[in-house]
Amino acid sequence: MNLFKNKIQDERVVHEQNKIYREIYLLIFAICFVSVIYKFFIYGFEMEHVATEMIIFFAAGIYYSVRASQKGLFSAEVEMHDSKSKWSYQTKTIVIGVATGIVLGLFFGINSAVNYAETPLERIYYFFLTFATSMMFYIPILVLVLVISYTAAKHRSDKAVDEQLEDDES
Amino acid sequence: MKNLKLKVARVEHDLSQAELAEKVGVTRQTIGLIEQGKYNPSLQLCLSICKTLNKTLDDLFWQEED
Repeated sequence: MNLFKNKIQDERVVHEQNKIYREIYLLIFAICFVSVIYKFFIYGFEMEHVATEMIIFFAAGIYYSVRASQKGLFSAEVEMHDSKSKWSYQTKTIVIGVATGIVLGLFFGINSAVNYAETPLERIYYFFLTFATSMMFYIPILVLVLVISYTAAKHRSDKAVDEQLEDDES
Repeated sequence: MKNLKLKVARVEHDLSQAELAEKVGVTRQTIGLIEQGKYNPSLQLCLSICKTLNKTLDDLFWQEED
């Protein structure tokens, strides 16, 4: 009898452990988020003070995207999403890009009006000028980055699925 | 080990992997991997597949010892 072949793990234990790891991941994110807010409050809106938290946010996001694409999970996520939602995943990606661009435009517009304008008329002028300029800059860039990332991840993920199921005709 | 019983039952019902996946509420990839023996489904998913294909757990998932 091959002892190694019949090695069975208790899947309930593994499942529960994975749930705990997931909670730890969320906990780390929550702590980083609180830390960013606290540092902005203490030191002002400066990125150099929150560089570590930003690296954690971006590295985790990029790592998940790469691994999900490599394992074909991204295609599964898109398939599950599109079968349940009225809007396709791709449409939502574009909408998120546009919405983020608008939010950034509003943020910079308000910031400009509050911090740099002196008269009420100047405030309105500064707000709309910065808002429009920010939107013209951020919306195309964000949409482009998100659509390119989506397309690349989907392509890689579809390829992984095809490789996994390649000797399976259906 | 490939699960040919599942594949045969699916074909008997004239369902593609994608159609069975939709009925069960999973992705085509998951059904494909179960048929290839590369993924062990949960009992809940096995039951759901059995109910969809009008089969018992024995019919689809029992494996005889070599």
